Amino acid sequence: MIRILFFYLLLTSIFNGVIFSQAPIDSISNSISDLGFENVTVLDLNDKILISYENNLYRFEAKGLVRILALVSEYDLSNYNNLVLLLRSSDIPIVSVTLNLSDLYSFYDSKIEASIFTSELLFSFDVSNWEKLVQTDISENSSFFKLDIPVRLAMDYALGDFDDGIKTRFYLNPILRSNLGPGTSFEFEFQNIVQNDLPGKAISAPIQITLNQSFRFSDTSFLVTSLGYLPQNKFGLNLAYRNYLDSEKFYLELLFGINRLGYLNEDLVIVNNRNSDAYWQANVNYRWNKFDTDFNLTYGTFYAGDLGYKLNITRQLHEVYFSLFYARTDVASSGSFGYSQKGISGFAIQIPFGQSKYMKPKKIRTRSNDYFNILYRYSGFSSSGIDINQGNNLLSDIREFYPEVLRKGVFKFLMGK
Amino acid sequence: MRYNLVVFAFVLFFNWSNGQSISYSGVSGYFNTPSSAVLSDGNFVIGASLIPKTYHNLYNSGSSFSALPTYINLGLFNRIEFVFRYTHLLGQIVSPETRYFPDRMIAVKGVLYKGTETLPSVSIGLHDFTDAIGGSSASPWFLSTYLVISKAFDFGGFVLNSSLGYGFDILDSERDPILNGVFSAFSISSRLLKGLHLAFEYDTSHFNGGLFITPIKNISFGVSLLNMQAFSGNFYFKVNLLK
Repeated sequence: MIRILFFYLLLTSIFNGVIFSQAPIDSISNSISDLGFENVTVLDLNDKILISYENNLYRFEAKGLVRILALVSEYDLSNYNNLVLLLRSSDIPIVSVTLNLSDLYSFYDSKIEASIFTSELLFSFDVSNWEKLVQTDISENSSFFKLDIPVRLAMDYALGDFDDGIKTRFYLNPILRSNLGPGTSFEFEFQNIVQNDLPGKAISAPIQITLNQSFRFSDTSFLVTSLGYLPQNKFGLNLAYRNYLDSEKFYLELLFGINRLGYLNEDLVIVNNRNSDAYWQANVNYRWNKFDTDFNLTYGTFYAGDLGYKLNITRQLHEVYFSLFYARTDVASSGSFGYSQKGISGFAIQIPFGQSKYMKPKKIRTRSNDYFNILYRYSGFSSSGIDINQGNNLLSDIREFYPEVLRKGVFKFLMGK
Repeated sequence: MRYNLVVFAFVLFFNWSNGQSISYSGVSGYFNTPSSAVLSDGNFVIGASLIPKTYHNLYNSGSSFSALPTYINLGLFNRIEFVFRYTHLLGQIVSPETRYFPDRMIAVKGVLYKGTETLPSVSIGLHDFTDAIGGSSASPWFLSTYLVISKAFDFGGFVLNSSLGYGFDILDSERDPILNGVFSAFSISSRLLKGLHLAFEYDTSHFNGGLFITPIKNISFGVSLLNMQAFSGNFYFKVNLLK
């Protein structure tokens, strides 16, 4: 009888212990999933809690991070010292954030200011050790085989045409996007012209049908690939390999593609020239973290097959990107009224568009696309130095995950708390 | 009614303003002249001006059309401002016969020295310079370089912002630079009337005077008499993209 009682007490104490330690973990995991975050894993690592998640709920990654911090602060996790957050994209880990839980509680109890709290956050691109732990568990609320349907507003324009100061063509393009596995996605975009007073032929037709695969080989190197039909009327295989040499401060990138020029006409028949063409580019990028500014120098072949270089300076202001560029290639072209062209300069602006918070990702979800882009080339007649569009991939949004961008973004949203 | 007028006056005169205004060409300054000030990092301005005929001279169009410059301006690194301006002549026809094309201009201004309590700030500016660096074939109608110093003086609640500059032609413009020679300007604002400041300038050709009003946060108007004769004005919206 005493033995039975002993075993009963032993078992209940073990189970109680497990239940008490598991309870907040399970509850946090369920709460994060219920909010709409995906690929959620929450692990108890003795003195710390590891939360791995993917944000497809908020347009800006920093806002998703603030929502997670607010949720965790509602739990009594006094048994733990640290919280580790692993932020994912396409179920690939991108960056980790480590913080002291006592700082988190102090901030939400208004004992320390947002500036002090955010200065204590430790961001790192070194995620492989955390990822090994995450892979030992099964994630909740998978992002795979769901259909996202963003609608993209786009505009082409010409300044100073002969009978009108500004001529425009507006598009409202539905996009079908689905993640099929870690780093694997399918994307389809239909160009839908809703207004047009620009001269020249333009049709409503598909402009992108691609299968994309992204890889993260180590803490520093990424490879993104796309196969299929891309905007700019190219069919083929495109690759980009990027290696970060000093966290986000410095990277080298190589781009390569073999494409055939062509397009899908109104009858969805491929019209192409049967000549495959390869392009290649190498670029170096330095990021000035104080002002979230990229200095990028690219050398290689551009959209028109022209060989040359392009200098790009991009200032990131949270979700707004402003770029200035100057390119000089071997392409010959003419400018206004036949003036000769020596190079091309201009600017590009990317502004956030539509909802800042989307509906919860479900089997099918519609939403606005994240951004609206405006490109101005000083001479619209020149085909020199046009960037090659490799489509949407893991590297497209990676600047939102950069440590200093996240830190400033978290500060911005916590200041407005 | 009287109460509404009081509220309106309050909104009109006591709104936010740092005394920094945007000139008709889109750079920080007065009406036609720049100051050495630049927009703070992340500040963005979009606006438009109206310049009456005889005061906007464009090659092949003479000065017989009023001009409507529209512009954006972005402050970078607390040191630089970048401006893109698109100017259309009202009523002028774009055609090979007139050889008129709306003007597109890129301008930058950089702070060389931020100044101290006693020393003025110093900036250098470039108007419409892309052809000079081989970046465009577009006509550099307003290619111009200038150096400007500015200093603010506080007189017991009244702030006097003054600027003195020189426009020169080191990039060897084919046409007359927009700033050619000595220019000078000053504005007066009061701490009690923060949304309003009066300004007066000599823009290397004419004396101009007027005022800038910020009736609602982020929105400002400028009204002036160019050559103390012709009404001109601008309107701009300013926002801090980092907030």
